[in-house]
Amino acid sequence: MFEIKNLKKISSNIWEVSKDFRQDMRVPARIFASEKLLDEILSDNSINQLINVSTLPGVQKYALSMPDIHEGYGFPVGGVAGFDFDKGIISPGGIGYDINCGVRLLKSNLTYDEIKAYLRELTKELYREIPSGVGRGGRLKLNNQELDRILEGGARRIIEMGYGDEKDLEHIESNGKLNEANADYVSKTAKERGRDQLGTIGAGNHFVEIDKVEKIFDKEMAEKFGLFENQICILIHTGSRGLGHQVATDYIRKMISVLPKYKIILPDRELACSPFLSSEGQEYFSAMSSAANFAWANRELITWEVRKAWQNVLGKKSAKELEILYDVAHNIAKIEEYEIDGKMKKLIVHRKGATRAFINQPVLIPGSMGTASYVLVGQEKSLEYSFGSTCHGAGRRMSRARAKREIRGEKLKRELEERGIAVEAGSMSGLAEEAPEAYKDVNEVVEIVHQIGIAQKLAKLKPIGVIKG
Amino acid sequence: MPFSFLDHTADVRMLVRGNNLKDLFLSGLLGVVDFLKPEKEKNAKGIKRVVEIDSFDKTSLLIDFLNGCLFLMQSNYEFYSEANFEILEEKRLRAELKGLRAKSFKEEIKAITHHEAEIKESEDGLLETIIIFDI
Repeated sequence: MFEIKNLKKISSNIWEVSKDFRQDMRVPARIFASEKLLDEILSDNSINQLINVSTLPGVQKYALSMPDIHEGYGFPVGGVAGFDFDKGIISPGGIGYDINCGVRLLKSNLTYDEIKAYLRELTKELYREIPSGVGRGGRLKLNNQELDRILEGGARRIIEMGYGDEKDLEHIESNGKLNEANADYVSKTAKERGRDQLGTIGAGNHFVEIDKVEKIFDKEMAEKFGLFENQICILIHTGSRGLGHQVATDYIRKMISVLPKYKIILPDRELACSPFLSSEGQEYFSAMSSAANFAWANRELITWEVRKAWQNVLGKKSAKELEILYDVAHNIAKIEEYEIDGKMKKLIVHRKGATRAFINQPVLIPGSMGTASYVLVGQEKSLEYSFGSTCHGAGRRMSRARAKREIRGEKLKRELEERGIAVEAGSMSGLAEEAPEAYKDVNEVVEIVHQIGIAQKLAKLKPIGVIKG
Repeated sequence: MPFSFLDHTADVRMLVRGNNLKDLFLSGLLGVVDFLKPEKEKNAKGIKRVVEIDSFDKTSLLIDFLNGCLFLMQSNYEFYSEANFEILEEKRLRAELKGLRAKSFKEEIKAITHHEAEIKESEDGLLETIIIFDI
């Protein structure tokens, strides 16, 4: 394990591992954390994984970790790194298997008092309308041509098919479509895995949640975003499902095989990468963009299902009231420009378990069941400190196996319901894995990014209904 | 046990052991199936599949083999309890898989990763490696 004595405090909540710590480091590694969170972070392998990121060719300034960092594979979860566009690499392991896993928040015009009598029914209806859990297929089974159009058209294509509203696109990161997508670079096996998965949330930590706005921190900005206290919102957390997993698997395999060709030596094969401008790098970027588009189409179709459930329970007129506040990716690579050594430079920014936080952009931070989720607003310092990025959630602190050993799903469900949170879950052991105790304190995580100034607190949401696979 | 599960903050860390390469590869497959917790289909028919894989080295071959099996199991709803390796070389394998149709799986694996994987000989003379699943 990495030891605290090897960390240098740069300023309040910012720590650094010097470039001299390991011979293969090209830049320092920076950690955003309080002393309290640091204790948890140092208990697993995440800092070593971050140091590994700092060794990759073309890495700029520093390898960064957000306060919700935890051990992953390749990059740590909560890791951010920017690579030189011309001479740097792209690494599928720096984006993860769940390409464009992300979060979307829908806002209603209704208050908690107006829906509380329907809460249980609404939770059940959402569970009925949105397929969830291991292996559950969705309502669409796409043929090859239809699937390719989704991969290249993203959220727009699913709206053209009648599932969504044109104006939704204005409130999605990249308007729900990456133009670099090319379905020809997505393998048949990846397409096979995703063919019937649109409109499904899957299992693991993915969910749909009914939230109540508990607290507004910035009234003026909240009004601008259409948020108010006691308002009911719906939070959707899922990604590109099996299609994205297979794209990552395919390209990690391919990139491992060409490491000698590009004379790249890695401390961990899961960081397999290729020069961004190489044929392998460009093909992966096209495939990753296609999977990202699939994820945006997925969240758009789920939004359609949410609106349908909402309408079934609360009446026809009410569904129109569910508007998208924002939709953000937290596993993705983007071409963006940042100031490096006084000059603007084009970079390939990798965010693995980290959210884009551009100035005045809504940032969505899902917490754990039974605690809180947050809406933040991106701040100017994110461009200076963190390649326009911030945290993506609470961050795990307890292994799934330990959570299952220590927590009974049925008991947790009862406890949540006693606290006014309706729960619909396909698997009680899956519910136990996602217990609040398994996560870091989301309030503490959010407070750190707020204090550093990369994203500012706007609203705190309290879960009142949870739908899980 | 040919495989055992160790702690990992977010995913699954499995230690796989075997007397030889064939044994190690089979142990890895059985560990993956054990984690997926398949529920056998009523009156399930036996299934045979053939997989052929080329890879970079023996560790990558193991990870690619397990990812290949994972794809077949999750997309065809089946699980395997036997693997007969007709060819198992440093960079290439051909195996016949035998198993049954699954009604469902209780758990999902997104992918078998290369992180921490390295086939080496243990102090007691067995082959072993860590394998991490992204779940």
